[in-house]
Amino acid sequence: MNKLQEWLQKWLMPIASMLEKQKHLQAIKDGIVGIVPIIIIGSFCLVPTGIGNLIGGGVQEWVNANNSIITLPTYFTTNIMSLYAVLFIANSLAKRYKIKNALVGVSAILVHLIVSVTVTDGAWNVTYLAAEGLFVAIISAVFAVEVVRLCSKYHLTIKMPDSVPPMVADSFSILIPLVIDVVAATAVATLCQTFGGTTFPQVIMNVLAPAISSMDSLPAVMIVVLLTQLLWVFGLHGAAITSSVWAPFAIANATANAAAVAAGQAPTHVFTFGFYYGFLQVSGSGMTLGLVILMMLSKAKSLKTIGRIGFIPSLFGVNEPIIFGVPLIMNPFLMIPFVFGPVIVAALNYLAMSTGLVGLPLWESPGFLPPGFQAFLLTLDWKAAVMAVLNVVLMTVFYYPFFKMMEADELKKEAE
Amino acid sequence: MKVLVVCNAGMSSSILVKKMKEYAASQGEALEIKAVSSASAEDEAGEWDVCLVGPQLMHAVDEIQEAVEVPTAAVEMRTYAMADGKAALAQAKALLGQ
Repeated sequence: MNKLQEWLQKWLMPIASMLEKQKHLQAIKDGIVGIVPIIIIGSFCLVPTGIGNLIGGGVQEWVNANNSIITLPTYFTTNIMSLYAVLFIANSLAKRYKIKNALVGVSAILVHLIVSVTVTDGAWNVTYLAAEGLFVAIISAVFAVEVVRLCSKYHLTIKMPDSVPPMVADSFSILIPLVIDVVAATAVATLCQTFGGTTFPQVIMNVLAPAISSMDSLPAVMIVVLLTQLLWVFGLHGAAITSSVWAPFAIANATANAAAVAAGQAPTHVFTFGFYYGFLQVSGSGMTLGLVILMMLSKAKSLKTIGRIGFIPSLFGVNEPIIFGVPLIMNPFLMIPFVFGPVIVAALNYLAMSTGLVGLPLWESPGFLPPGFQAFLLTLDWKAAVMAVLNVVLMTVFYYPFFKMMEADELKKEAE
Repeated sequence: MKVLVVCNAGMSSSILVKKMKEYAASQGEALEIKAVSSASAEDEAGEWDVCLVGPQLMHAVDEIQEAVEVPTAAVEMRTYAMADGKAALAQAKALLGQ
Protein backbone atom coordinates (compact mmCIF):
# COMPACT_ATOMS: atom_id res chain seq x y z
CA MET A 1 0.00 0.00 0.00
CA ASN A 2 2.76 2.43 0.92
CA LYS A 3 4.59 1.67 -2.32
CA LEU A 4 1.45 2.41 -4.33
CA GLN A 5 0.83 5.56 -2.33
CA GLU A 6 4.35 6.80 -2.92
CA TRP A 7 4.19 5.97 -6.59
CA LEU A 8 0.89 7.75 -7.16
CA GLN A 9 1.89 10.65 -4.95
CA LYS A 10 4.96 11.04 -7.10
CA TRP A 11 2.88 11.21 -10.28
CA LEU A 12 -0.41 12.75 -9.23
CA MET A 13 0.89 15.64 -7.15
CA PRO A 14 3.00 17.14 -9.93
CA ILE A 15 0.08 16.87 -12.37
CA ALA A 16 -2.28 18.53 -9.90
CA SER A 17 0.26 21.27 -9.13
CA MET A 18 0.98 21.75 -12.79
CA LEU A 19 -2.72 22.28 -13.54
CA GLU A 20 -2.94 24.64 -10.58
CA LYS A 21 0.04 26.66 -11.80
CA GLN A 22 -1.48 26.98 -15.28
CA LYS A 23 -2.78 30.51 -14.79
CA HIS A 24 -5.05 30.47 -17.85
CA LEU A 25 -6.85 27.26 -16.92
CA GLN A 26 -7.43 28.41 -13.35
CA ALA A 27 -8.62 31.86 -14.39
CA ILE A 28 -11.00 30.35 -16.92
CA LYS A 29 -12.40 27.99 -14.31
CA ASP A 30 -12.79 30.67 -11.62
CA GLY A 31 -14.24 33.16 -14.08
CA ILE A 32 -16.75 30.72 -15.51
CA VAL A 33 -17.79 29.34 -12.15
CA GLY A 34 -18.15 32.99 -11.09
CA ILE A 35 -21.02 33.58 -13.51
CA VAL A 36 -23.13 30.73 -12.09
CA PRO A 37 -25.18 33.21 -9.97
CA ILE A 38 -26.04 35.14 -13.16
CA ILE A 39 -27.25 31.93 -14.80
CA ILE A 40 -29.22 31.00 -11.68
CA ILE A 41 -30.98 34.38 -11.70
CA GLY A 42 -31.80 33.92 -15.37
CA SER A 43 -33.09 30.44 -14.51
CA PHE A 44 -35.37 31.82 -11.78
CA CYS A 45 -37.18 33.82 -14.45
CA LEU A 46 -37.81 30.62 -16.39
CA VAL A 47 -39.23 28.73 -13.41
CA PRO A 48 -42.81 30.08 -13.96
CA THR A 49 -42.65 28.74 -17.54
CA GLY A 50 -41.50 25.37 -16.21
CA ILE A 51 -44.21 25.28 -13.55
CA GLY A 52 -46.83 26.35 -16.13
CA ASN A 53 -45.81 23.45 -18.36
CA LEU A 54 -45.98 21.14 -15.36
CA ILE A 55 -49.43 22.17 -14.18
CA GLY A 56 -50.99 23.27 -17.45
CA GLY A 57 -54.49 24.76 -17.56
CA GLY A 58 -55.10 28.25 -16.22
CA VAL A 59 -51.63 28.60 -14.71
CA GLN A 60 -49.98 27.89 -18.03
CA GLU A 61 -52.27 30.34 -19.83
CA TRP A 62 -51.50 33.05 -17.30
CA VAL A 63 -47.75 32.42 -17.56
CA ASN A 64 -47.87 32.46 -21.34
CA ALA A 65 -49.88 35.68 -21.36
CA ASN A 66 -47.31 37.39 -19.15
CA ASN A 67 -44.26 35.60 -20.42
CA SER A 68 -42.62 38.61 -22.01
CA ILE A 69 -42.51 40.36 -18.63
CA ILE A 70 -41.58 37.30 -16.56
CA THR A 71 -38.72 36.26 -18.83
CA LEU A 72 -37.43 39.76 -19.63
CA PRO A 73 -34.41 39.41 -17.30
CA THR A 74 -33.24 36.29 -19.15
CA TYR A 75 -32.38 38.52 -22.12
CA PHE A 76 -29.89 40.34 -19.91
CA THR A 77 -28.56 37.30 -18.01
CA THR A 78 -28.41 33.88 -19.68
CA ASN A 79 -28.83 35.33 -23.17
CA ILE A 80 -25.71 37.48 -22.85
CA MET A 81 -23.85 35.35 -20.30
CA SER A 82 -20.59 35.30 -22.26
CA LEU A 83 -20.37 39.06 -21.69
CA TYR A 84 -20.27 38.45 -17.94
CA ALA A 85 -17.89 35.53 -18.43
CA VAL A 86 -15.37 37.58 -20.37
CA LEU A 87 -15.22 40.16 -17.58
CA PHE A 88 -14.89 37.56 -14.83
CA ILE A 89 -12.25 35.53 -16.65
CA ALA A 90 -10.22 38.63 -17.55
CA ASN A 91 -10.35 39.94 -13.97
CA SER A 92 -9.41 36.56 -12.57
CA LEU A 93 -6.46 36.19 -14.95
CA ALA A 94 -5.34 39.77 -14.31
CA LYS A 95 -5.37 39.06 -10.57
CA ARG A 96 -3.26 35.95 -11.07
CA TYR A 97 -0.75 38.01 -13.05
CA LYS A 98 -1.04 40.71 -10.37
CA ILE A 99 -1.98 43.25 -13.04
CA LYS A 100 -3.43 46.18 -11.15
CA ASN A 101 -4.99 48.13 -14.04
CA ALA A 102 -8.73 48.37 -13.35
CA LEU A 103 -9.52 48.69 -17.05
CA VAL A 104 -8.25 45.25 -18.12
CA GLY A 105 -11.73 43.75 -17.77
CA VAL A 106 -13.18 46.53 -19.88
CA SER A 107 -10.66 45.90 -22.64
CA ALA A 108 -11.69 42.23 -22.67
CA ILE A 109 -15.37 43.20 -22.99
CA LEU A 110 -14.47 45.39 -25.95
CA VAL A 111 -12.62 42.57 -27.72
CA HIS A 112 -15.48 40.18 -27.06
CA LEU A 113 -18.14 42.57 -28.36
CA ILE A 114 -16.25 43.28 -31.57
CA VAL A 115 -15.74 39.61 -32.45
CA SER A 116 -19.17 38.40 -31.28
CA VAL A 117 -21.76 41.05 -32.14
CA THR A 118 -22.81 41.65 -35.73
CA VAL A 119 -24.20 45.06 -36.60
CA THR A 120 -26.71 45.52 -39.42
CA ASP A 121 -27.89 49.07 -40.15
CA GLY A 122 -26.89 50.06 -36.65
CA ALA A 123 -28.89 47.28 -34.98
CA TRP A 124 -26.99 44.81 -32.77
CA ASN A 125 -27.39 41.09 -33.17
CA VAL A 126 -26.36 39.63 -29.81
CA THR A 127 -27.18 35.96 -30.48
CA TYR A 128 -23.55 34.98 -30.04
CA LEU A 129 -23.26 36.54 -26.60
CA ALA A 130 -25.29 33.58 -25.24
CA ALA A 131 -23.95 30.08 -24.52
CA GLU A 132 -22.41 29.84 -28.01
CA GLY A 133 -20.15 32.75 -27.09
CA LEU A 134 -18.73 31.21 -23.95
CA PHE A 135 -15.66 29.75 -25.59
CA VAL A 136 -15.12 32.98 -27.50
CA ALA A 137 -15.30 34.78 -24.15
CA ILE A 138 -12.40 32.63 -22.98
CA ILE A 139 -10.36 33.58 -26.05
CA SER A 140 -11.27 37.27 -25.81
CA ALA A 141 -10.43 37.46 -22.12
CA VAL A 142 -7.10 35.66 -22.42
CA PHE A 143 -6.15 37.74 -25.47
CA ALA A 144 -6.98 41.08 -23.85
CA VAL A 145 -5.14 40.27 -20.63
CA GLU A 146 -2.10 38.93 -22.46
CA VAL A 147 -1.95 42.12 -24.56
CA VAL A 148 -1.89 44.22 -21.40
CA ARG A 149 0.70 41.96 -19.79
CA LEU A 150 2.99 41.88 -22.81
CA CYS A 151 2.67 45.61 -23.46
CA SER A 152 3.73 46.27 -19.91
CA LYS A 153 6.54 43.69 -20.13
CA TYR A 154 7.98 45.30 -23.25
CA HIS A 155 7.32 48.83 -22.00
CA LEU A 156 4.73 49.55 -24.69
CA THR A 157 2.70 51.78 -22.39
CA ILE A 158 2.20 55.46 -21.92
CA LYS A 159 3.83 56.09 -18.55
CA MET A 160 2.53 58.87 -16.33
CA PRO A 161 4.50 60.41 -13.43
CA ASP A 162 3.89 58.77 -10.07
CA SER A 163 2.03 61.81 -8.80
CA VAL A 164 -0.84 61.16 -11.23
CA PRO A 165 -3.86 59.48 -9.54
CA PRO A 166 -4.01 55.70 -10.31
CA MET A 167 -7.31 55.93 -12.20
CA VAL A 168 -5.86 58.50 -14.60
CA ALA A 169 -2.62 56.55 -14.99
CA ASP A 170 -4.64 53.39 -15.70
CA SER A 171 -6.65 55.09 -18.42
CA PHE A 172 -3.47 56.19 -20.18
CA SER A 173 -1.56 52.93 -19.80
CA ILE A 174 -4.47 50.94 -21.27
CA LEU A 175 -4.52 53.04 -24.46
CA ILE A 176 -1.89 51.15 -26.47
CA PRO A 177 -3.32 47.73 -25.49
CA LEU A 178 -6.76 49.00 -26.49
CA VAL A 179 -5.50 50.03 -29.92
CA ILE A 180 -3.99 46.56 -30.41
CA ASP A 181 -7.23 44.95 -29.16
CA VAL A 182 -9.47 46.94 -31.47
CA VAL A 183 -7.32 46.39 -34.55
CA ALA A 184 -6.91 42.65 -33.92
CA ALA A 185 -10.57 42.04 -33.04
CA THR A 186 -11.85 44.00 -36.02
CA ALA A 187 -9.48 42.12 -38.30
CA VAL A 188 -10.72 38.75 -36.97
CA ALA A 189 -14.38 39.73 -37.30
CA THR A 190 -13.86 41.07 -40.85
CA LEU A 191 -11.84 38.04 -41.97
CA CYS A 192 -14.53 35.65 -40.77
CA GLN A 193 -17.19 37.71 -42.50
CA THR A 194 -15.34 38.24 -45.77
CA PHE A 195 -13.78 34.83 -46.30
CA GLY A 196 -16.15 32.58 -44.38
CA GLY A 197 -19.37 34.52 -44.64
CA THR A 198 -19.77 33.75 -40.96
CA THR A 199 -18.92 35.04 -37.51
CA PHE A 200 -15.94 34.27 -35.29
CA PRO A 201 -18.14 32.56 -32.62
CA GLN A 202 -19.60 30.32 -35.33
CA VAL A 203 -16.10 29.36 -36.50
CA ILE A 204 -15.11 28.49 -32.91
CA MET A 205 -18.33 26.53 -32.38
CA ASN A 206 -17.64 24.52 -35.54
CA VAL A 207 -14.10 23.78 -34.38
CA LEU A 208 -15.22 22.82 -30.87
CA ALA A 209 -18.40 20.94 -31.84
CA PRO A 210 -16.75 17.49 -31.58
CA ALA A 211 -15.24 18.35 -28.19
CA ILE A 212 -18.55 19.71 -26.88
CA SER A 213 -20.57 16.70 -27.94
CA SER A 214 -17.99 14.19 -26.73
CA MET A 215 -17.84 15.97 -23.34
CA ASP A 216 -21.59 15.39 -22.90
CA SER A 217 -21.42 11.62 -23.20
CA LEU A 218 -21.55 8.58 -20.97
CA PRO A 219 -17.81 7.73 -21.20
CA ALA A 220 -16.78 11.36 -20.58
CA VAL A 221 -18.93 11.62 -17.45
CA MET A 222 -17.59 8.31 -16.16
CA ILE A 223 -13.97 9.34 -16.77
CA VAL A 224 -14.49 12.72 -15.09
CA VAL A 225 -15.98 11.05 -12.01
CA LEU A 226 -13.28 8.37 -11.92
CA LEU A 227 -10.46 10.94 -12.07
CA THR A 228 -12.16 13.13 -9.48
CA GLN A 229 -12.51 10.25 -7.03
CA LEU A 230 -8.95 9.02 -7.66
CA LEU A 231 -7.58 12.48 -6.85
CA TRP A 232 -9.62 12.53 -3.64
CA VAL A 233 -8.06 9.20 -2.61
CA PHE A 234 -4.82 11.15 -2.37
CA GLY A 235 -6.46 13.94 -0.46
CA LEU A 236 -6.61 16.33 -3.38
CA HIS A 237 -9.81 18.21 -4.19
CA GLY A 238 -10.78 16.17 -7.23
CA ALA A 239 -13.52 18.38 -8.61
CA ALA A 240 -11.47 21.56 -8.15
CA ILE A 241 -8.74 20.02 -10.28
CA THR A 242 -10.75 18.24 -12.98
CA SER A 243 -13.28 21.07 -13.35
CA SER A 244 -10.57 23.31 -14.79
CA VAL A 245 -11.16 21.21 -17.89
CA TRP A 246 -14.88 20.39 -17.80
CA ALA A 247 -16.45 23.45 -16.12
CA PRO A 248 -16.63 25.55 -19.34
CA PHE A 249 -18.43 22.72 -21.14
CA ALA A 250 -20.81 22.00 -18.26
CA ILE A 251 -21.74 25.67 -17.88
CA ALA A 252 -22.20 26.13 -21.62
CA ASN A 253 -24.47 23.06 -21.63
CA ALA A 254 -26.54 24.43 -18.75
CA THR A 255 -26.98 27.75 -20.51
CA ALA A 256 -27.91 26.03 -23.77
CA ASN A 257 -30.57 24.07 -21.86
CA ALA A 258 -31.93 27.25 -20.28
CA ALA A 259 -32.05 28.90 -23.70
CA ALA A 260 -33.98 25.91 -25.07
CA VAL A 261 -36.47 26.13 -22.20
CA ALA A 262 -36.89 29.87 -22.77
CA ALA A 263 -37.60 29.17 -26.44
CA GLY A 264 -40.24 26.61 -25.49
CA GLN A 265 -38.08 23.66 -26.55
CA ALA A 266 -36.84 20.62 -24.65
CA PRO A 267 -33.36 20.76 -23.08
CA THR A 268 -30.81 18.51 -24.77
CA HIS A 269 -27.74 18.33 -22.52
CA VAL A 270 -27.29 15.96 -19.57
CA PHE A 271 -23.82 16.93 -18.33
CA THR A 272 -24.35 20.38 -16.84
CA PHE A 273 -22.76 21.99 -13.81
CA GLY A 274 -25.91 21.20 -11.81
CA PHE A 275 -25.96 17.58 -13.00
CA TYR A 276 -22.51 17.15 -11.50
CA TYR A 277 -23.23 18.80 -8.16
CA GLY A 278 -26.95 18.02 -7.73
CA PHE A 279 -26.72 14.33 -8.64
CA LEU A 280 -23.14 13.06 -8.57
CA GLN A 281 -21.97 15.00 -5.52
CA VAL A 282 -25.02 14.57 -3.29
CA SER A 283 -23.75 15.04 0.31
CA GLY A 284 -20.21 15.57 -1.03
CA SER A 285 -17.61 13.70 -3.09
CA GLY A 286 -18.23 9.97 -2.92
CA MET A 287 -21.85 10.56 -1.81
CA THR A 288 -20.95 9.60 1.73
CA LEU A 289 -24.12 10.43 3.68
CA GLY A 290 -25.07 6.76 4.15
CA LEU A 291 -21.54 6.00 5.28
CA VAL A 292 -21.79 8.86 7.79
CA ILE A 293 -24.98 7.38 9.23
CA LEU A 294 -23.38 3.91 9.43
CA MET A 295 -20.51 5.50 11.34
CA MET A 296 -22.84 7.34 13.71
CA LEU A 297 -24.49 4.02 14.57
CA SER A 298 -21.18 2.19 14.90
CA LYS A 299 -19.88 0.69 18.12
CA ALA A 300 -16.38 1.85 17.22
CA LYS A 301 -15.83 5.06 19.15
CA SER A 302 -13.50 6.74 16.68
CA LEU A 303 -15.92 6.19 13.79
CA LYS A 304 -18.88 7.39 15.83
CA THR A 305 -17.07 10.63 16.68
CA ILE A 306 -16.21 11.42 13.07
CA GLY A 307 -19.72 10.51 11.96
CA ARG A 308 -21.23 12.98 14.40
CA ILE A 309 -18.88 15.78 13.36
CA GLY A 310 -19.52 15.14 9.69
CA PHE A 311 -23.29 14.66 9.67
CA ILE A 312 -24.63 18.22 9.46
CA PRO A 313 -22.02 19.49 6.94
CA SER A 314 -22.71 16.35 4.86
CA LEU A 315 -26.39 17.27 4.60
CA PHE A 316 -25.21 20.41 2.83
CA GLY A 317 -22.76 18.71 0.52
CA VAL A 318 -19.61 19.40 2.57
CA ASN A 319 -17.82 16.18 3.49
CA GLU A 320 -14.21 17.18 4.05
CA PRO A 321 -14.51 16.21 7.73
CA ILE A 322 -15.40 12.68 6.56
CA ILE A 323 -12.79 12.48 3.81
CA PHE A 324 -9.98 13.61 6.11
CA GLY A 325 -11.44 12.20 9.31
CA VAL A 326 -12.22 8.55 8.55
CA PRO A 327 -9.97 9.10 6.58
CA LEU A 328 -11.11 8.09 3.12
CA ILE A 329 -7.67 9.03 1.87
CA MET A 330 -5.68 5.90 1.02
CA ASN A 331 -8.24 3.91 3.00
CA PRO A 332 -7.56 0.24 2.24
CA PHE A 333 -11.15 -0.74 3.07
CA LEU A 334 -13.23 2.04 1.53
CA MET A 335 -11.07 2.89 -1.47
CA ILE A 336 -12.90 0.53 -3.84
CA PRO A 337 -16.48 1.75 -3.21
CA PHE A 338 -15.27 5.37 -2.89
CA VAL A 339 -13.58 5.33 -6.30
CA PHE A 340 -15.80 3.02 -8.34
CA GLY A 341 -19.21 3.48 -6.69
CA PRO A 342 -19.64 7.05 -7.96
CA VAL A 343 -18.62 5.96 -11.47
CA ILE A 344 -21.45 3.41 -11.50
CA VAL A 345 -23.87 5.96 -10.06
CA ALA A 346 -22.81 8.50 -12.69
CA ALA A 347 -23.39 6.00 -15.50
CA LEU A 348 -26.85 5.08 -14.17
CA ASN A 349 -27.83 8.74 -13.79
CA TYR A 350 -26.59 9.63 -17.24
CA LEU A 351 -28.51 6.74 -18.79
CA ALA A 352 -31.68 7.55 -16.82
CA MET A 353 -31.58 11.07 -18.21
CA SER A 354 -30.43 10.39 -21.75
CA THR A 355 -33.17 7.77 -22.18
CA GLY A 356 -35.80 10.23 -20.91
CA LEU A 357 -36.66 8.25 -17.80
CA VAL A 358 -35.79 11.24 -15.64
CA GLY A 359 -36.06 14.90 -16.61
CA LEU A 360 -32.96 16.70 -17.91
CA PRO A 361 -31.51 19.73 -16.12
CA LEU A 362 -33.55 22.70 -17.33
CA TRP A 363 -31.16 25.39 -16.09
CA GLU A 364 -28.88 26.06 -13.08
CA SER A 365 -30.02 26.21 -9.47
CA PRO A 366 -28.42 26.95 -6.11
CA GLY A 367 -26.42 24.06 -4.70
CA PHE A 368 -25.09 22.79 -1.35
CA LEU A 369 -28.59 21.63 -0.41
CA PRO A 370 -29.75 18.41 1.29
CA PRO A 371 -30.06 15.36 -0.99
CA GLY A 372 -32.71 15.67 -3.70
CA PHE A 373 -33.40 19.40 -3.34
CA GLN A 374 -30.99 20.64 -5.99
CA ALA A 375 -31.98 17.75 -8.27
CA PHE A 376 -35.62 18.85 -8.07
CA LEU A 377 -34.86 22.55 -8.54
CA LEU A 378 -32.80 21.67 -11.60
CA THR A 379 -35.38 19.52 -13.32
CA LEU A 380 -38.78 20.21 -11.68
CA ASP A 381 -39.11 16.44 -11.90
CA TRP A 382 -39.88 14.53 -8.68
CA LYS A 383 -38.25 11.46 -10.23
CA ALA A 384 -34.96 13.36 -10.37
CA ALA A 385 -35.18 14.12 -6.66
CA VAL A 386 -35.84 10.45 -5.96
CA MET A 387 -32.89 9.48 -8.14
CA ALA A 388 -30.55 11.80 -6.21
CA VAL A 389 -31.65 10.22 -2.93
CA LEU A 390 -31.32 6.75 -4.45
CA ASN A 391 -27.75 7.63 -5.42
CA VAL A 392 -26.93 7.98 -1.73
CA VAL A 393 -28.80 4.75 -0.91
CA LEU A 394 -26.96 2.86 -3.64
CA MET A 395 -23.62 4.22 -2.43
CA THR A 396 -24.52 3.09 1.10
CA VAL A 397 -25.02 -0.43 -0.25
CA PHE A 398 -21.60 -0.22 -1.93
CA TYR A 399 -19.95 1.06 1.24
CA TYR A 400 -21.67 -1.36 3.64
CA PRO A 401 -19.57 -4.55 3.31
CA PHE A 402 -16.32 -2.56 3.21
CA PHE A 403 -17.47 -0.45 6.14
CA LYS A 404 -18.14 -3.61 8.17
CA MET A 405 -14.58 -4.80 7.55
CA MET A 406 -13.19 -1.43 8.55
CA GLU A 407 -15.39 -1.36 11.64
CA ALA A 408 -14.24 -4.84 12.73
CA ASP A 409 -10.64 -3.73 12.33
CA GLU A 410 -11.31 -0.55 14.27
CA LEU A 411 -13.07 -2.43 17.10
CA LYS A 412 -10.13 -4.79 17.33
CA LYS A 413 -7.76 -1.82 17.64
CA GLU A 414 -9.95 -0.21 20.29
CA ALA A 415 -10.10 -3.44 22.31
CA GLU A 416 -6.31 -3.68 22.43
CA MET B 1 -2.79 37.51 14.91
CA LYS B 2 -4.58 37.66 11.57
CA VAL B 3 -5.21 34.27 9.96
CA LEU B 4 -6.72 33.59 6.55
CA VAL B 5 -8.08 30.08 5.88
CA VAL B 6 -8.51 29.04 2.26
CA CYS B 7 -10.37 26.10 0.80
CA ASN B 8 -12.04 25.40 -2.53
CA ALA B 9 -15.39 27.06 -1.90
CA GLY B 10 -14.75 28.63 1.52
CA MET B 11 -17.23 26.19 3.07
CA SER B 12 -15.31 23.43 4.79
CA SER B 13 -12.73 25.99 5.95
CA SER B 14 -15.49 27.99 7.66
CA ILE B 15 -16.07 25.02 9.97
CA LEU B 16 -12.44 25.20 11.12
CA VAL B 17 -12.57 29.00 11.36
CA LYS B 18 -15.47 28.81 13.78
CA LYS B 19 -13.57 26.39 16.04
CA MET B 20 -10.37 28.45 15.91
CA LYS B 21 -12.34 31.53 16.91
CA GLU B 22 -13.93 29.69 19.83
CA TYR B 23 -10.59 28.38 21.03
CA ALA B 24 -8.86 31.76 20.76
CA ALA B 25 -11.71 33.42 22.66
CA SER B 26 -11.50 30.79 25.42
CA GLN B 27 -7.78 31.57 25.76
CA GLY B 28 -8.36 35.32 25.68
CA GLU B 29 -6.21 35.65 22.56
CA ALA B 30 -6.85 38.29 19.92
CA LEU B 31 -7.55 36.56 16.62
CA GLU B 32 -8.80 38.00 13.37
CA ILE B 33 -9.76 35.17 11.05
CA LYS B 34 -11.68 34.59 7.84
CA ALA B 35 -12.48 31.71 5.45
CA VAL B 36 -12.37 32.36 1.69
CA SER B 37 -12.48 30.33 -1.50
CA SER B 38 -9.24 29.79 -3.42
CA ALA B 39 -10.68 31.87 -6.27
CA SER B 40 -10.77 34.95 -4.04
CA ALA B 41 -7.36 34.43 -2.43
CA GLU B 42 -5.83 37.08 -4.71
CA ASP B 43 -8.09 39.72 -3.17
CA GLU B 44 -6.48 39.09 0.21
CA ALA B 45 -2.88 39.87 -0.76
CA GLY B 46 -0.92 41.26 2.18
CA GLU B 47 -4.02 41.61 4.39
CA TRP B 48 -3.11 38.76 6.75
CA ASP B 49 -0.22 37.54 8.92
CA VAL B 50 -0.46 33.91 7.92
CA CYS B 51 -2.53 31.67 5.67
CA LEU B 52 -3.78 28.12 6.27
CA VAL B 53 -5.00 26.01 3.35
CA GLY B 54 -7.44 23.08 3.47
CA PRO B 55 -5.48 19.85 2.89
CA GLN B 56 -7.56 19.12 -0.23
CA LEU B 57 -5.75 22.05 -1.85
CA MET B 58 -2.25 21.00 -0.76
CA HIS B 59 -1.23 20.91 -4.42
CA ALA B 60 -2.09 24.61 -4.64
CA VAL B 61 -0.18 25.86 -1.57
CA ASP B 62 2.55 27.52 -3.65
CA GLU B 63 0.03 29.30 -5.85
CA ILE B 64 -1.99 30.48 -2.88
CA GLN B 65 1.14 31.68 -1.08
CA GLU B 66 2.04 33.69 -4.16
CA ALA B 67 -1.45 35.19 -4.14
CA VAL B 68 -1.75 36.08 -0.46
CA GLU B 69 1.91 37.06 -0.01
CA VAL B 70 2.24 35.70 3.54
CA PRO B 71 3.56 32.41 4.99
CA THR B 72 1.17 29.65 3.87
CA ALA B 73 0.80 25.96 4.68
CA ALA B 74 -1.74 23.16 4.35
CA VAL B 75 -3.57 22.28 7.56
CA GLU B 76 -2.69 18.86 8.92
CA MET B 77 -5.42 16.41 7.74
CA ARG B 78 -6.53 15.17 11.15
CA THR B 79 -6.74 18.75 12.45
CA TYR B 80 -8.88 19.73 9.48
CA ALA B 81 -11.19 16.73 9.79
CA MET B 82 -11.82 17.19 13.49
CA ALA B 83 -12.00 20.98 13.11
CA ASP B 84 -9.44 21.13 15.91
CA GLY B 85 -9.19 24.86 16.61
CA LYS B 86 -6.41 24.47 19.14
CA ALA B 87 -4.12 22.47 16.84
CA ALA B 88 -4.84 24.70 13.85
CA LEU B 89 -4.02 27.81 15.86
CA ALA B 90 -0.81 26.20 17.04
CA GLN B 91 0.07 25.42 13.42
CA ALA B 92 -0.62 29.03 12.41
CA LYS B 93 1.66 30.29 15.19
CA ALA B 94 4.41 27.85 14.28
CA LEU B 95 4.18 29.05 10.70
CA LEU B 96 4.68 32.61 11.89
CA GLY B 97 7.62 31.47 13.99
CA GLN B 98 5.93 32.39 17.26
